[in-house]
Amino acid sequence: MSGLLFRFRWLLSVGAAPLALLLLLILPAPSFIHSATNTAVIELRLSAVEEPNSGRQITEPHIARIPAAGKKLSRQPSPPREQGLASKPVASINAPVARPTVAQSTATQASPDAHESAVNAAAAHAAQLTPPAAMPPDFESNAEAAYIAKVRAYLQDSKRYPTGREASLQRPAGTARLWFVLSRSGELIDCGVQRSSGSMLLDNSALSTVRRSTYLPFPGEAWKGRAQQRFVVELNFVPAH
Amino acid sequence: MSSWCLCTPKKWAVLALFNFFSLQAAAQESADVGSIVVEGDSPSEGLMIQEDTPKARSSVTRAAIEQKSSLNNSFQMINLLPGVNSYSFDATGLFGGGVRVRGFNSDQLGITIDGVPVNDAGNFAVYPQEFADPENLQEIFITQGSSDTDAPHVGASGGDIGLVTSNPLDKSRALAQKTAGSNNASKIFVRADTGYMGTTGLKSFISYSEASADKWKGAGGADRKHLDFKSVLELSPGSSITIGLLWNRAFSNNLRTLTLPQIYTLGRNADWGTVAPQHLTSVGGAAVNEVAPANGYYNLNLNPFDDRIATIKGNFQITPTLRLDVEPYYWYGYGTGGNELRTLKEKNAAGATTLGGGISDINNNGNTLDTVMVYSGALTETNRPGITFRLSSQLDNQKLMFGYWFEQSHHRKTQPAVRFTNGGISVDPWLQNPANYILRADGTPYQGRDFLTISKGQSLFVQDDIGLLNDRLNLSLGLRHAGVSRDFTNYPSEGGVNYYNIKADYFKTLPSLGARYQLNNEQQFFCNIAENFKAPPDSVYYGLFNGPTLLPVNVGAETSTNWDLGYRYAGRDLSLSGSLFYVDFRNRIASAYDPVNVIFTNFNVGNSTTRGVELESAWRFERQWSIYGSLTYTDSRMKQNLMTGANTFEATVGKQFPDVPQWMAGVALQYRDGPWSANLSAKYTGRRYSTLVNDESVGGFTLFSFDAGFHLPTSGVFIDPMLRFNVYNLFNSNYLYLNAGSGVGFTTRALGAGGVAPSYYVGAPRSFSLMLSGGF
Repeated sequence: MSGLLFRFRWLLSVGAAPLALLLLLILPAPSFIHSATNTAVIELRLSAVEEPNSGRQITEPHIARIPAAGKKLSRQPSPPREQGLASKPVASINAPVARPTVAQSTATQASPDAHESAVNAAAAHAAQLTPPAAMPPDFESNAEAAYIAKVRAYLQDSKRYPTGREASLQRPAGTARLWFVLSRSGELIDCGVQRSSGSMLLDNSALSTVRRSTYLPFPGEAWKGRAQQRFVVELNFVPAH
Repeated sequence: MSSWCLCTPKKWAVLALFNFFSLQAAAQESADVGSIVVEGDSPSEGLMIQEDTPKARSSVTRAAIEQKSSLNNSFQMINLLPGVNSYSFDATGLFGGGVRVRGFNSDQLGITIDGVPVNDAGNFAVYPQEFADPENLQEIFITQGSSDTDAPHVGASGGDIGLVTSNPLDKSRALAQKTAGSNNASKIFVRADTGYMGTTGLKSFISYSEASADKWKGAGGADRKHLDFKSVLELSPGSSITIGLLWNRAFSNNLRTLTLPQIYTLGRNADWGTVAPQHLTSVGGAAVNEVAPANGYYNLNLNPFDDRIATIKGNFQITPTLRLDVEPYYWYGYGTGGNELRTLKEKNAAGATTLGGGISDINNNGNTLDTVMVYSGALTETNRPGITFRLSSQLDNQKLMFGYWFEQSHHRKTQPAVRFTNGGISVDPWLQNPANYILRADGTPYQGRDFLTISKGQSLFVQDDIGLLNDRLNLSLGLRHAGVSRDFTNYPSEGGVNYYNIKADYFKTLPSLGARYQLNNEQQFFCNIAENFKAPPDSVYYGLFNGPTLLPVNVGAETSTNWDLGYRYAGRDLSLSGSLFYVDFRNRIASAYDPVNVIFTNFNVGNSTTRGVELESAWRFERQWSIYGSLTYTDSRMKQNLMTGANTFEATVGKQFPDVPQWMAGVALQYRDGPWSANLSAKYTGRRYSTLVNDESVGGFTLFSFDAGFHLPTSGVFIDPMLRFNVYNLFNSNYLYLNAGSGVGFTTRALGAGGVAPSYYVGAPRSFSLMLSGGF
């Protein structure tokens, strides 16, 4: 019997993979537990601009990450580093500078809780801010702007430059413009490529980023009356130096 | 394009309802999330990337490559990666080196440069000093244990290494670099980039370099000239035509390998002799009997080699979801190597060969009785055109790729002989002018061997990458039918007087399955099973005449099944990648007793297993500081004894493969602050056995190196001038590298009757190099 098993060990192992896959389908998908409203005062700068990375000469656009709750900020906000790309500024880009004040500030990775509470607090502050003149017309409330900032944060967290033999040999670069539809409950309904980056690898990686991210339900006052909302995002891929 | 959400039945109903409303949604305004930059980077300054491939894979990128000395070869650049045991014969890397990954030697790994295979067409050997100036190297990646589905290899039982050269710059620029170092090391490198020319979408660069260094022990040195040219024509976003040319011409004196007894008696710095062997003059017409000196002569121990590679890459994005790649290439190699100081007997000397009437008067002393020292090396000339076709299509959540690779290599191996002067200088070190060849009585040149191998390598491959569970689960299914058809001819020569021709095919269907599950944004698990194979080298066809009969070839391909199970963590400042691996390596080729033909020959000697752990991690713990570390544990064991006769064998069961250390560790501490950069690295290589029966071993050692760079302010004519300083073997450690390949390259036993002392490359001592570069 063991001889037979040994003889077909390759087949067994390959067969095990679809079995494991089937199990994964049956079991409920993991879901992130979000806390209820958190009224802790955490001031967070919702900006697309990252503090300079160790001060070395930067000749290419750098990753613009939304700083986690713990990042110390060393500079005033400046226009997004991704020059020449999406010209529509998002409300969140122009939010004022703020310093994190809670004990969680030493964490380098923001948990979804910190994100959400930070963003909720910022949304509360945002109501008192004067939006800059270049505000696009399709934002009607600051709740929407805050939600968009969250979406942006989730995309930032799940973005990946493609890897593999093809990606290494081609080293694709380009910007993919994607659309995606989220339901009121925060579910991804559909997504697609609005404008291709010119590279299948990058388009696929961009779609993958959108699919893999998890999204929160819309806050009550955002997009009132709509069961779902369409978003667009541009992902600009830059190969590693 | 619809997404692939795995929904419960309730969600399906909701989905249907939402689809009805989606038309409404489309008509509404879209909320703009803005622009996000996605950069392929990780907190390790180029020593590690955020890998997503569902198989064990590591890379170094330009950020790390440019920190090292401009003289180095590509095997030195990957030294810190997990699973990699690489070495260089000297600090500069100009004399060559080797690499072993999961116990597999470089001639069992598939090596490409920009997708073009560079393993020797006959025996799959690789010479890293022959390709790529590091100034033009963008990335080196390695898939430990598994070959990529679309990789053009028929000799890769242990995985792939890929070199990627950089593209021309977008803006025009000229660059000049000068390097000077220990042992008279010197390199001049110049590169000119045209930048985008008008609105044509065409950009090119051309670079040329000359490098040289003395041997760190003994007399002689290395000289290397290298030219790179690349031109990219961008037709439309995603479509381009790239032309690349590479030319490398190297001429070096070989470093001498020593056995342990020789190290004890002659010392570590022993090398080839420095006194030119003198030709003897005949006294009264008597026979002259020259004997090559025991220590050889450094200037008749040469490695001249000329490589030329031309590639054209046509990449066409026909529609946003359909891509066609057509990539032809041409590889030409010519050269010789090893020890060329030999003796030949003229036709009337005792024991002389008789082919073609025997060898005529070599030293022109009027008689044909002499044994004369000559310069004769194994000469190889290879012409190797090939082409890869690849069609990729993105359908929803699936990416389908299929393609075909074909290559025909014309691989001519001869061994002519030429004379050398009393000054120890060969009249034709490159053996390229037949007018210099020593002739037989019938006017044909002497040839120590005379083979022609025409190999047709092919691979038909298909790969399906599927994204499931909102792309949290990725499956990669690959299948390739790859192999090589050999057509080997032995022409009558002093190495084998019978003409014979052998045709043999080695084809295998090789499946692979990889899966990656993204647990959350930072963590992923992956597993991979892949089948690889390596066709026998063409040396299995040498010397097949046993008396009057031609022996059949009873050697099959080596095959291996590689299993990886891994985990990766990619945080903002911390990256970690680890894999457990198991390699089932079957039909290993070695020199052993073939009971069918009752002869000692190349034979499939049995199976072995290699298992272990590979870990790598990068951590940016301060704004200017980061640390990279790798740890590898490898346990490779042979499962059969090696037959040496009908009833005799060598006890190799349970023994470790030679030159595979159980433990290896690499560490790099990196500092970056403004114009300053510095790296302190260390690589520990554990104790390794030197023979198949494990009766000799050499100890573990740690090699430290230090690199520092400083960007000077732009001044006068120079733009972004830079100074770089590198130290190799900072603490002057003593260490040895085993001189062995794979298969028949291993020494079976060192001790006892019939034992042969294995030979080693002596590790180079501490050396420095300083480089100044500037653009204008």
